[in-house]
Amino acid sequence: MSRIFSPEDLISFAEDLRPAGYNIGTQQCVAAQQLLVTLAAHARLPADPRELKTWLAPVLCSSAKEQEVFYDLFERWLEQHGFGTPAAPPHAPLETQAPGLSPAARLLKAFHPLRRPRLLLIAAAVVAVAFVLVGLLLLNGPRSLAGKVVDERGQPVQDALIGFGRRTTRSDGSGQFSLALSSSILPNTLTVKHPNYVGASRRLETIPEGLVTVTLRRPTLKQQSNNRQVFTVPDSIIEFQPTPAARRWPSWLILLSPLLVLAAWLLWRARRRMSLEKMQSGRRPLLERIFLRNTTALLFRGASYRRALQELRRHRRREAPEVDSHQTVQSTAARGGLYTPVAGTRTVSPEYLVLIDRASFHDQQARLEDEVVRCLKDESVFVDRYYFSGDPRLCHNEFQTKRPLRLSDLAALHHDHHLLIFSDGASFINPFTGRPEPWVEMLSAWRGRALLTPERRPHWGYCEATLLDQGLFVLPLSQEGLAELAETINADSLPASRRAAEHAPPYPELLRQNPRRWLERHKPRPEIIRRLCEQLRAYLGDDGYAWLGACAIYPLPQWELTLYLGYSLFGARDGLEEKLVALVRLPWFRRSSMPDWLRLALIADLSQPRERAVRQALRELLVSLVERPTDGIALDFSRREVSQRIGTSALADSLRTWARRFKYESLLHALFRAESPDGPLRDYVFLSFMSGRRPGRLAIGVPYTLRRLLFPHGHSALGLRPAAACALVALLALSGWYWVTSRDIPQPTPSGDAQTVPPVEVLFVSREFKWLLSSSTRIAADEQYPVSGGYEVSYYINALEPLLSDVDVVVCVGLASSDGGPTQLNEELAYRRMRALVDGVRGLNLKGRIYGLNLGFYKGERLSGYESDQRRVIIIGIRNARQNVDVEAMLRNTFSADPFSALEVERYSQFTLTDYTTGGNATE
Amino acid sequence: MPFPYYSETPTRGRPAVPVTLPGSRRADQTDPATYLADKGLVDAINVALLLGQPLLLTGEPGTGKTQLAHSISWQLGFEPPLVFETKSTSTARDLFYTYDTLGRFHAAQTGQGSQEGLDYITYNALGVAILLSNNYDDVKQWLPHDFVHDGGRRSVVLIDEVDKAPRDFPNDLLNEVEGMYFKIPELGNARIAAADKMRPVLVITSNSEKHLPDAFLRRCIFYNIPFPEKSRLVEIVLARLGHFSQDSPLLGDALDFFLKLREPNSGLRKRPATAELLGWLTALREIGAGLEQPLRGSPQIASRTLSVLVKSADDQLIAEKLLADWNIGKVE
Repeated sequence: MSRIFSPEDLISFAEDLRPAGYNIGTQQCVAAQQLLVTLAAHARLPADPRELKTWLAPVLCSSAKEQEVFYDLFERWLEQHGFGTPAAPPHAPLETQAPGLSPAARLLKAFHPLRRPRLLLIAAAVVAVAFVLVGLLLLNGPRSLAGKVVDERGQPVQDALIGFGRRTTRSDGSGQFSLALSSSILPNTLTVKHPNYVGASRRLETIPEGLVTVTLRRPTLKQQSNNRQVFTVPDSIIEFQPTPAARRWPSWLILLSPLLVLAAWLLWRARRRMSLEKMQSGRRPLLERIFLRNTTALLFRGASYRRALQELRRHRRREAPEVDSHQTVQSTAARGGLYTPVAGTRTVSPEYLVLIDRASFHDQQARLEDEVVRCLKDESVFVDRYYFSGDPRLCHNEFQTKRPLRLSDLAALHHDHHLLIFSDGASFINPFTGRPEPWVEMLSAWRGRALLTPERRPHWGYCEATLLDQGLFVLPLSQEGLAELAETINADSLPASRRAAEHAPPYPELLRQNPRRWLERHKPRPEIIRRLCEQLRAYLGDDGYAWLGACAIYPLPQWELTLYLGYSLFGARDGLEEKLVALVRLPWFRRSSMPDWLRLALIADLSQPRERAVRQALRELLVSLVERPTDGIALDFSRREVSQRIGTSALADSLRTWARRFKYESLLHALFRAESPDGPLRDYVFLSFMSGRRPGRLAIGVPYTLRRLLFPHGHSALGLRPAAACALVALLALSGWYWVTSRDIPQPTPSGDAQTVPPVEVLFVSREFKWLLSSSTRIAADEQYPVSGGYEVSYYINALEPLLSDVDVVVCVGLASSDGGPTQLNEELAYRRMRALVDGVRGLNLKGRIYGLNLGFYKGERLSGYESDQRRVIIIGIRNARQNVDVEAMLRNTFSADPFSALEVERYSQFTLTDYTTGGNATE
Repeated sequence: MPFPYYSETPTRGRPAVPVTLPGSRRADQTDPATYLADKGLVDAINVALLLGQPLLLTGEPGTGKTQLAHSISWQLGFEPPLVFETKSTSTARDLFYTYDTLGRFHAAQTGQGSQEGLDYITYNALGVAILLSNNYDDVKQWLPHDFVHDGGRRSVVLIDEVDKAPRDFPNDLLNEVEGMYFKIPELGNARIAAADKMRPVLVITSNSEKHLPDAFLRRCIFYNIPFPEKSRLVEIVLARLGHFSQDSPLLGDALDFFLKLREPNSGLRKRPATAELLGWLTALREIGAGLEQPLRGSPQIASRTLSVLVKSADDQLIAEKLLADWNIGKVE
């Protein structure tokens, strides 16, 4: 049963909510506590604390976004604090709700095995079971039984019928055959039959490995005396020859191999170094966000900045649509009682509509301008912020979660705001005509409008002048510019233009001409790179250039790191904002991408001590992860070894990484560049491992101490973690062991030995008798036996006794036929005739089992060598009959050979041999 | 007279007797007895009532924020809510009263009209509710002669679309809303407070919480009314428009097309909400669409009533195209 959700729990929960962005004040906590107490007083406090979510949400949430995730957070919190498991599936922990991750990424992160040991165990168990099942399926699945059928002289036997269960096949011209089998039909009997040979059979418990050799033999006439023909029917033999290759590998080697591989893998894994490096991918990898300690001070917090920002908040008086009674009374009295109304005024706070020109989501210039907005908000200035990209006719909100708004929409929504545009204004001028874009006029919908540009005042030119002509108040993005802005707004008029007093180096000419060129991965000529670096140094100054070089060390430009490195290099001193404005205006900071050739050039220009200091600062920053901060500098990276990729994918990834690392030496580079056909290549930071090497200049080594923190359950290599690798190896070893042992099947021994066991003998007591049914007393004599009438029959029957005294099986082969007519009647008639014959033989004093075999034929069919209208019987004795001797096959073979070959058993039998061969109907 | 009442060519001539038009269906759609609130909203209302704090409702237009105040009044057995419709020029004082300064001045000047200052005051929603929460004897000195005070009782006050007001509006309200009092400088700075046991129930609606200051948000019980799921929409329609049945082909198709219009990629700038759906279904019935008549295959019926769903020329074009595509099954 769940414990009670107490007021202390509530306080703790509220504390945990705050880092997730909930702005919960004391008043709300008190209200929530009061709610719990009131519910308890009304006996409405739910037994399951999870039901409190809909009660607490209205008190603790203050936005739709907070409400949307509150239920999940609350349930998760309860689960983490021992309130029992929720009925619903588990949700992401609080820290995963950090902004910036897509819902899909959060979901994946929540279910990431690293965060869910139980899931990991379950997944491992499922994989193991699946592995075993697949292994058993492979071992016991469809296999083939192949072999060869030969005769006693080793000559191939064609058309032998090989059967195993219901599966049959025939041998080809070279005696070869192959039969697809599965272990599900085991145990069963393998039979081989051929009309001219004695059949062979062998019972199998398992499907043997190797080839099967079947040696078929023919029955031979042994003697002919005393009116008996004695055929020797030798056993045909089925032998198994194991595959020589199967025994080539010793068992211990098979068992040991996976262990050796595991040991090598563990050693290699332990020697790898962790690093952060830039790689390209057309697919957006699963990014993880870690928070590092943020020790940097905040921007624009200097006294002069704060004064300028506070000025923007100053209340102003506006005309109100009402009469100022006090002033009206005064003015009326002053005019001798003549009613003189005076319009009232109202004090209002100024509101600002801020439009920020954002080149990309990671545009650091836009981030800097966001800082200005944040400071304005901190000073309680009312600001509505939107973003545009070059052309403000379409603006988005911060996360582009809603439809873009047109400028006319914004004018309708915020018509009484002051318009502040953060942009260099270059896109406001048509590059071909040199005139302002037509839409610039739409900005006149706002009475007060200003453009804050990162361009320094001494370098203002045609663009700024044109925009000023359009009524747009152009100001530099600096402390002076903001102060001037406040002054202008308070004065409610455009001030006189000021002259640029300060000196400032110009923006690099190379960048101004074609900024996108310098984002390309294609390396320019060395002298061009040198010129670019010189211009950058001149523009930024020595300190700014060093800052740029420091930023080049981390694989991707990132706003928080830019700030961190700036504070690391120069401390929180005045003037940092101006340097930052100049720095983040560069195209690499606006697009969050810096080509490697430029990074190498900039790092090379850093002095050794400074480079060491920067790398040390970055390492220290990474180590702050140990403190597990929940806020601060957010780094997004992807683990290459994340367990999403396993098996061949992981191997392919590793190969790609390897090829990429040696791309200048490897031809594979060209191939691996095309790894992602579904999107343009983009730069991402990957947490990679390098085998035994120190990280290069373009990579950041990750301290070893973080390995356990980043990979609490062990990092993967080639897509496997140690536990999974050990389990896999164990399974492989077991499978190998099973495979080896299952191949050592004891070979079944032949069922008989032709040398020691007396051969089966078939005695043809009579070749042919003409016999009568009960309706007739006459029996015709053939050329050998004078018989006539009932006497002869009796005589003959009695004469059989000594002939058949030593046989095991008596088979009466009759030619019971009918005179035609309906088939059912024919069958009945033939059966009766056959039965009469068998009964006659049964009357004898014979020890052998008696079977009947009918070879009846239809009247009118001519039987070669025999009278078609005569009824004949052949009595056959079988001596030394024993198990594993297929009597039926033997007789079939015998009848197919001389002197009975003319019978054409198959053709003329009304019924199949099996119908009457083995007792059954005939003997009952 | 059959529909349409008004035609392109007046061939029928002027009727001898005035045409009888149907009564407004709005009353059916706003009947508080048929208002359906989801569980989160129900709990939020109860929390607000338990704690005596204002209930702040946000959500898309048309999701029933305003109607909720009527539903609360109805369920609590109160009189219909006292409504303050916020304007872009509203001030905090307007929520309590307005004073006809000019009239008072004119009366003082000319000696005509009432010389009583009280007669120039008009109490507004929250002011009325605070006065009504007191016994008549306690507040009678502040009541104009035409003010009807029916004894101490509780009221529901709806401050509708507070986000329309200037930014300072909510900030100026903080103390007054929390303490449930107001002052009248025109009457010698009189302070009128609500009786403790009869504090008005305050419901505030806003289309977005973004423009409201944190201090104000913290004093409110907050609930964002999410847009209902399809099954919930069916329940709402059945509750509000009784003549529909759950398996009505007309309702099924109408909901299907309505949800298509609401999809983020539909291209509409203003997506229709529940109120528009109810209006549209009513309009469909009015022009003769049968309950058993599928809408798909009869695009002209839907087309004639589209203006109920979409309210701008741009959206009208997009909706027409969507309707054509949906009708031929191009959009599923």
